[in-house]
Amino acid sequence: MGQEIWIIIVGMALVTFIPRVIPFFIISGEKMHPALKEWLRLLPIVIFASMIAPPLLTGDGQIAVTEHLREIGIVLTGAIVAYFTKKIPLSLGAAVIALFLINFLS
Amino acid sequence: MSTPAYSQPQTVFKEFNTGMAAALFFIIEFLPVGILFGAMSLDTGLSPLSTIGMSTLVFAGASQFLALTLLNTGATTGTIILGTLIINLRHVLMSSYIASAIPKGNAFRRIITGALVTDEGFALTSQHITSGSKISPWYVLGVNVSLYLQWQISTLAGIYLGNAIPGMQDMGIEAALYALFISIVVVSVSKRTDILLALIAAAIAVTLTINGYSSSAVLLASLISSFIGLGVYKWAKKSGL
Repeated sequence: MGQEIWIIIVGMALVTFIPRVIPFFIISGEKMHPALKEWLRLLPIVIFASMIAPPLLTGDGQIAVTEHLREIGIVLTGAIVAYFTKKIPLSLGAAVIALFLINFLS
Repeated sequence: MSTPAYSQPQTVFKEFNTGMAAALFFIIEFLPVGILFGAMSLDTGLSPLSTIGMSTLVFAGASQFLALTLLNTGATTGTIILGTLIINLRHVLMSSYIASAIPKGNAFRRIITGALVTDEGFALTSQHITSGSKISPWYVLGVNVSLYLQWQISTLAGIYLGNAIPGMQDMGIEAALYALFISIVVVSVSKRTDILLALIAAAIAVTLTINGYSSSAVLLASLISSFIGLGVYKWAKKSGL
């Protein structure tokens, strides 16, 4: 694996770089259409929802909830603290404490 | 032309440092993941140089692991690059969001800021934008540079420590990351339909994953559900709700 790996690395770098950079040349914060504004507002909600659901609810290509009860417990701890405090550092702190408690108690 | 407030040297330095510092706690996640990556990469047959080369040039955890997995199965160069593209297309959405919240800046700054966009950087940055306000581009850059350096250090730790730290991967550190992500969802929700959209996004992502489309699940689920949301928004506006 000599030269071949560098071709792979450079290729990966390009296809990672391009999607990350292009929006910075298309979207500008000034004078945005209200619909575009609404779409952008929705993005964090749907992106994060779709990023966390599969690892917590699936495994080996199937629905798998019981295998992930520990993680789900940790995540729900964070979600509940976020809901009541509206402060993300607090919810993350609570989740990390829950993570360590679960690891050291089990 | 007067210099805008956000680009006065003192402010630049302060915001950059604030961003650097704010991102530091991600070392809890990056270190174990980077060690795992470094060790796995050497096991796969990559040299230390190409291992750190991948982290410095690609800087995308999920696709770096994908590349190793595919290399182990003997996949072609084209397959690996295509897989990387599919996984990383989701960054178009994150970059769009960040780009909308910072002043445009010159081409060089846009390229540097964009090139370093990650899930974690997006998570941290979007917390400060949810109110709809603008944030300092230097803060964003500080966050991104901090994460970049952390990933390099963690990869190097993996190259030199290899498998010397057993059990670190079994702690389930990702759960803390997911807790951060769900907290952002919880805090960002401002309408009742938002909750429904989050559930739709989750359901689509899960459906795609169990049907073998895990690499494009985030992108497709986010696109479909956000457009559903946009449809609801336009319909509500038209109906005068």
